Amino acid sequence: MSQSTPRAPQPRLPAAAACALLAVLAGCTSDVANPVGAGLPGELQLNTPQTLFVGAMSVSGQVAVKDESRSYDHNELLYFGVQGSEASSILARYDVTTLPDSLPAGSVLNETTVTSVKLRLFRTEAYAAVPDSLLDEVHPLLPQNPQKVFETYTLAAPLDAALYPGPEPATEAQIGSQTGSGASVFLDLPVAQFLSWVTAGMNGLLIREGSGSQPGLVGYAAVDMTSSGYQEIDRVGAGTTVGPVLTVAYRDAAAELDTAFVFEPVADVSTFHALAAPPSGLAAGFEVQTHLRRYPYFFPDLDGLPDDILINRAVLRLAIDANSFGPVESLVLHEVPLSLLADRDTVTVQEIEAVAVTSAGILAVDLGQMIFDEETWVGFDVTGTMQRALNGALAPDTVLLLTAGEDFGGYRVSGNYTPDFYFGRMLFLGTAHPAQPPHFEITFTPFSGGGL
Amino acid sequence: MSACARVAAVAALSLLLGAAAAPAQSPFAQTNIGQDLRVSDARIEGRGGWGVAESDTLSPSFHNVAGLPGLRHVAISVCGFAALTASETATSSRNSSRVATPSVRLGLPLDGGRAVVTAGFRALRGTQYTTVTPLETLLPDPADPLGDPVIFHGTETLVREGTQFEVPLGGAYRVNDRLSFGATLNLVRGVVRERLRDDIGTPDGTGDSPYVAISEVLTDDISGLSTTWSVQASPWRQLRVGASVTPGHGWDMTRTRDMLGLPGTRTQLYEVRLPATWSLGAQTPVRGRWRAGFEYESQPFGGFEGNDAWAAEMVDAWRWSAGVERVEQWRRHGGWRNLPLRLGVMRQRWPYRVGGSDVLETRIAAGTGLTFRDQSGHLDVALSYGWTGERQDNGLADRTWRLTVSLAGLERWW
Repeated sequence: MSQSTPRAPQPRLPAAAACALLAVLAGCTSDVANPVGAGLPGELQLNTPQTLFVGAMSVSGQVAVKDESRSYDHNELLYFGVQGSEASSILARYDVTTLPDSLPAGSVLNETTVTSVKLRLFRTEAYAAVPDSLLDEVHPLLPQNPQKVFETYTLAAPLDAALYPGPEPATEAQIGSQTGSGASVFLDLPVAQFLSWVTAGMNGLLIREGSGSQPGLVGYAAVDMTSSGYQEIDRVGAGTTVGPVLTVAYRDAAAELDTAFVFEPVADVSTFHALAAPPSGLAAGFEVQTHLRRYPYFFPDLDGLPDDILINRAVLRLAIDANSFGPVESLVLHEVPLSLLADRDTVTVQEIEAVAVTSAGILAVDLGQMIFDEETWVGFDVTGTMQRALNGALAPDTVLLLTAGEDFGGYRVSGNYTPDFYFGRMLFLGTAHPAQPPHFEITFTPFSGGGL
Repeated sequence: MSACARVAAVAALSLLLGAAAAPAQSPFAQTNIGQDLRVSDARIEGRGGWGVAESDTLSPSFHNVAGLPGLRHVAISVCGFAALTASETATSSRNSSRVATPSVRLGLPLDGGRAVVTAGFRALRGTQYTTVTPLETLLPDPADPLGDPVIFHGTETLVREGTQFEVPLGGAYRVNDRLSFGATLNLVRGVVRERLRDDIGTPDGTGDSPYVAISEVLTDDISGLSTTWSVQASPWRQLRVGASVTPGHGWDMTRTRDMLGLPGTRTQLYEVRLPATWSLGAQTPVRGRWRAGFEYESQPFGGFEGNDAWAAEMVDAWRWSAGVERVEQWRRHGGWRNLPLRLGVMRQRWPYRVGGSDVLETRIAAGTGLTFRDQSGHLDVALSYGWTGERQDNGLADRTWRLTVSLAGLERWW
């Protein structure tokens, strides 16, 4: 064929044909990929995942944690009773010397006009008795509305709230003993004793569990309970004074005055004069304690892992110790530098928050329900942390600090309370346990190109 | 630029965009050096693939650049194809489609067409296929981690992709009316990439999935240089013969391996040696507007070196094609009879074995085309149907429809 050959004009077919063909080409689709073609020789072969159980820790310890913005005597709950090795009484001091100033001129203040003096305690809902059908909706590991004997004593010396938690202070005479339970408890106090406090002031009161009580620590509202904790109190609206108030009934017929005076404590605190010792080490167990916060820290010994591996899944598995008790709490693993924790008995929440990176967490762990359901393990997916450790992307002195759901870290249970609110001990079996020791279950795949 | 040249440019761009969405080709291409994707133009495809002896100044063929002398205009040729492939094994089947990366070639006449310089781009081989297969593995039971492991189910996805292409730069020279030579320097680049991913779900198929994921990528980046030498001659009357040879040459390979989640890349440099490729063909008028031709090409990949995994399965590849063409005419009121008609057959052996047996492919083709107004270019189409592999020998077999489109535009540039 030659360019010089004469020819007849053609219609505008080329452009139309090209467009039509392109439309056909563009409309082709493929079936979803399937096994057709599988098994042909390829150069890339993935290794099979392997699992290594790492129980040894390169570092471990435990540390008490405090909130530097809130001293212990400003906790929102007052704990009362005995549970296992823990025991706590309530201390409160009132300033009632101002009462005469509140009375009209000429009013009489004596055992006739002061008809009663009552100390009221509001129990939080977590300790309420509930039908069995609802047990899984509250806190099965907390004592359910136990019957308590409340013994009231006056203190031998003025209350110093800064001494607690600590031994019970010396007392003088016992001024009351009565049995009670329920959402609110009213303890009758002698009027004569009260009148002496009006004239001479008071050192404070100790409310101690008496013999015959049902076991269990019960939390009552403290004067420092903020509005955020009100929904933990049954049928109490915001604005109600929920702390352990003294209510003084006053009736003076001559003055036509029939009223009541309410005194909030100027100080109240739980003694926690008996506290269980934490596990002696990881061999004995892990403990996450709230209210009086105490958290464990540790890091696995990864020396047994080969080089050039991808950690497909790393899970820290902890077996629940049936001696645990407490409310629903989140559990969170934070990456923190060992230098913050080592050789220190106590660190602050603020110090942790400043450096912590969340590794993994479980929202709202209901240990009671898990024990009821005969579940054994809780697991934390720490794949990212372990991979970064192997990659050298994790600071070499990093450890994992196991905490409850603090305000930071993204795993707080709700807006109701922080881990300093409820007292609880979440216990997990230690490395010495013969059948269910804690371990890091590390599933990894060696890089097929690792030998290059 | 003339109207037809604009059409050619738009079509080339459209084909390139279409190629970017190419999803899959033959499963035979999922291994080794990949599937031969060379395509010169739809005229040659319609005749079964012969064209080493082709010389046409209206629809210039770049199959053998020695045929380019005589060109009087700047020639731009774009060619691409789409393929629909039905693949089957003993237990399953799959339909897949692909739009191949188009070739673009340019011819620039010098000295009144006695000499031509040429440049372009074309795909050599390609691999583009994905398989998904069920997977089982044993992992600790989350409910009883220290007990016996349990079976986890998942899938393994293999994606193999990549194209080897060349940029030929060269020229041709007509010694006399019966003899011309051509040569090109071919810059070869490309990549072959395998992505393998295992996704393993939870034992009961619920929960966070994948429970375990593994993914690695192996990439071979190719860089090479080759030359092609060609000749065309008319030794007797209108008999035209042609030949070309690409001597054996090396490719520098940069192999990188990555594992998702691991930092860094493992790199390995090596070289592969490709054997010489040569082809030989002839064409001659037979009767009236009809002419016939054939071509034979040899690629002795049995001599391939440098990649043991590939070399272990390689064999000497060959391809022969034969066909006839009724050339176009421009008789008034000639209607469809004016159009060219091409028929051909091609049979080839792929350069590697699959399933322990040679992969043989047979394709029959037909095609036609038309010349643009003012002879400013040519549009050609070819439709072919091919059989590749045998289920009993290779474990799978393909049936492929291929539509090839080429556009040649001629531009008077001086």
